[in-house]
Amino acid sequence: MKFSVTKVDFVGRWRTWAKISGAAMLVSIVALVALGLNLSIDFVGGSSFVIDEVTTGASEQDLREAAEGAGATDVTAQLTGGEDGNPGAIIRMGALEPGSDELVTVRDAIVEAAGPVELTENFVGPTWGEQVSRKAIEALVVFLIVVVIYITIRLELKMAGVAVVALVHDLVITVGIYALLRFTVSPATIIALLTILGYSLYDTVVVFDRVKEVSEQVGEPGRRTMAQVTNVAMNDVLWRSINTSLTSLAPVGALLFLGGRLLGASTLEDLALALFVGMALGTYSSLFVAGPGFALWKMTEPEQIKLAERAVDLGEEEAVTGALPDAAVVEARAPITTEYVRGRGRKSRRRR
Amino acid sequence: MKRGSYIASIVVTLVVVAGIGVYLGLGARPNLGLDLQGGISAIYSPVLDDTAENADFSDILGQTIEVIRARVDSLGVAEPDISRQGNDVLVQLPGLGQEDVERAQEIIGQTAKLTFRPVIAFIPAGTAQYDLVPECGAIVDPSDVLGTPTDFPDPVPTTAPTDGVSPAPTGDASPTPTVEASRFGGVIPLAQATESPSPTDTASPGPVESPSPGPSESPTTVDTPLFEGEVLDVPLPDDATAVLCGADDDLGFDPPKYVVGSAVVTLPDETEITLDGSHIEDAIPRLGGAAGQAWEVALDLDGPGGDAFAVVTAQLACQRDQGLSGQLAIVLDEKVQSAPSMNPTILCGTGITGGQAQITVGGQTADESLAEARDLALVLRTGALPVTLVPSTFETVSPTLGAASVRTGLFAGLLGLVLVAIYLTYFYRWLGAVAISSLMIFGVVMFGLITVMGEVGFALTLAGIAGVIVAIGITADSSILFFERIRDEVQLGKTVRTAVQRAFKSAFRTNLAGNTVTLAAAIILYFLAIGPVRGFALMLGVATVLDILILWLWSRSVVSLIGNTRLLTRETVSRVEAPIRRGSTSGGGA
Repeated sequence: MKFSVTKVDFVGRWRTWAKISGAAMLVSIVALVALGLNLSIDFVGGSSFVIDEVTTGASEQDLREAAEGAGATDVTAQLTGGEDGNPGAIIRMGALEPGSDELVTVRDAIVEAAGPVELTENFVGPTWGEQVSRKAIEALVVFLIVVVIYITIRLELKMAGVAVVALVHDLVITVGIYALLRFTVSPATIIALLTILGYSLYDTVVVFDRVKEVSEQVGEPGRRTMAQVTNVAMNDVLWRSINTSLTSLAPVGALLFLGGRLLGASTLEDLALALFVGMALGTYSSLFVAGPGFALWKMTEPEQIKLAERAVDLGEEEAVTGALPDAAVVEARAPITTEYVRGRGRKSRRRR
Repeated sequence: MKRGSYIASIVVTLVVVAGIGVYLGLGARPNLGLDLQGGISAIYSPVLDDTAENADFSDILGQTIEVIRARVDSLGVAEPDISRQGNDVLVQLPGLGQEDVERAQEIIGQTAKLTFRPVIAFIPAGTAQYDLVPECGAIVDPSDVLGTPTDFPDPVPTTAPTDGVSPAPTGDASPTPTVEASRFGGVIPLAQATESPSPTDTASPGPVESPSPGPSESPTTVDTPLFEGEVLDVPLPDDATAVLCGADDDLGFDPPKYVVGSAVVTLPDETEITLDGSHIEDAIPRLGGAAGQAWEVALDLDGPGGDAFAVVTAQLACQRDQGLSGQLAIVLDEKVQSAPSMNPTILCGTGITGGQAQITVGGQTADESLAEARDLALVLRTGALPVTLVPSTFETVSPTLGAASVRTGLFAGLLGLVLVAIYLTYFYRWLGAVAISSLMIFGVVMFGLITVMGEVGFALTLAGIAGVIVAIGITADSSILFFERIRDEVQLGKTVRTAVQRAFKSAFRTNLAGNTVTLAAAIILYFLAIGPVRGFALMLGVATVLDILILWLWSRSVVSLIGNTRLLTRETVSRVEAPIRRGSTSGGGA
């Protein structure tokens, strides 16, 4: 038997994590309801022009008036970092159908006002964003069903249930952060959200895989109940989780940092932002939501209750909550399962 | 596994990497998506008209794509990509700039309109008259064109002989080159009956396939335009008489011109019917003819369409009997796709009744014939599409912006790799070096795969780059899982050699479980989602599979081999994380 390097009581202190997560989710939901999401033109429909260089020195006001004067509605103009000392600009407006005369008029007015070196044009129909979202939600539902089935087969049903809870937790908070910080939600954000699902589950599956492995030792000293088993497993994989999330966040962070400096590369930036937030949350929820959640749920099973009672009889009250006693304390305890006899514990202790 | 098989795995991996290196060294580069190379990218959503009935949407979409492709070809784009994306049509026109935007928008969005119109005159390129008639698309005054309509038993073609997609079932070419009795008198050779020079659809008896240029050329040359016409900026009215071009034949010749009449037919009971695509119920290619060996298109019209068709073909058959061409033009998007002539079995005054007709196609070989029949059937069905194209997105990307995106993506990827490499080296020392080699192999193979996929049409997009960058993290995780397990096992007291074996087994199992979830996400996203999501999902999926392979073939072999050397001993493994362990541990540890 080996003893974890770290001894964080993930399960026993579940109330603390529940408070943190609960508060974060509450804030997210309130923010979402009160503030709503800042949807990009991809969801509401609209046209936009991106100008690499405004050579005429026109101000945001000038650009907006030029577009409005040509018949555009709901115009917003924004100067951005440009090239060669000239600012760039993004001008957004209500939808102007490609090929329509209205579009041509507005385009000409903007070209005249800004004197762009290069003009990039975008149009999104009013139903496109809705279609993307609907498709994404369809994909999400199918994905969740597949994953629940897979985890149930590969691990167990309760793990699947908790994994989905952790996932919802990540999604709600990510969306909440978007609402709170007024980040723009674009179809790329939706892609990223879907990836977060994959990543969050990937992480949860890795943790649960270890829980399942260690659960073969349930009943042994220091692993009297599933609560303790879960704690042991999560401490085992703690460094892996930290290292993985850091190595995963590094490239995404690079993308976020660099993508944000690039005019118009909003796809990259949108993706990176949601991924960054989601991956960080995914790691957190695997350890602090999925793990404790599973242990608590598992502890309601009659068998676990019996194990816990037995542990209490042995004077090991901590087994009920899952807290991990010091290694020395554990070593002094007698094994109470036959598995221990053929187990690795004695061998390893000898070696050590 | 034995030592030998580890070495074999390593060799295989290195050979693959070297092969890709050579491949890339020879100049192969990924096929960049539109957002990376610049151009126009648009998504159009077909909206079915109310009249659409039990039509197979998939079919309709396929035909819509064909129509758009044909239209885009006229823009002269190098490599247009018109493809289906879910229930939408994705149009990608690389290399087109802002100046082409308007034209592209107009040309893609218009609704396909198919009409049947009687051919009044046919003017192949190269004839003296070719430049003397108005340009294609010009609407002309019918009385100019038909100065003396005396030859027509029935009223002026303008109103009456609207259309006659008529069958020329058997291969006997009725028509002989004739001269129209119009104002062109004796100058313009009328359509070689059966022959319509556009290769797409020679809807006429095979044998007569005599290419058009200059059939019965009359010496008279006229310098002044034969008649005037005007190109209007509106769709061709149904009842207009106009000069239209044959569909492009890509042979390098100018397309032939046709003077065609109105598509509006007056039935005996005075009702007027426009003989257009909406009356087509179906058009399918099939084997027909006397011997059952010639390809033809079976055309099925609805009730009113069939009645109008009978009227038109009756008139055209009369014209044929008078020595005129008696052709019926099939006009799609203001281009004459085909102009079949009347078969001798069609009687003047009777026409083709019952709303069913066959159009025999030309072609030297059976394959050509089949292709032409298919094309013509497609044209006919397309004309019947109850569909309107609504733009969903329209985006122009400047080439400089695209190049900047590529640079940023590559740079972000490299920066990410470097950061990960530094971190892993600090944490895992020699094992970290193995992890970095895995990442480098991942990078090279991924780049190679993207390039190879480019050969078969896959285009790397920004979203795809993001997918790859995400996968860097997943690949690093495989190594981390593996190394952490080695550490655990060594801590349990195993020898390094045993520890590596056991660690690989359990790490691989865990890795497979996690990657299955990621792969499921990628596959489901790829098939269910739309828009840029798919490129992202594809890259993520490919990278996930690659990750599993690299862990199996490379990481495992290398770690196993160095497991017995001084590079990887109990001490070096245990030293891992020493800085962090100290202080946080009381009992355990190594």
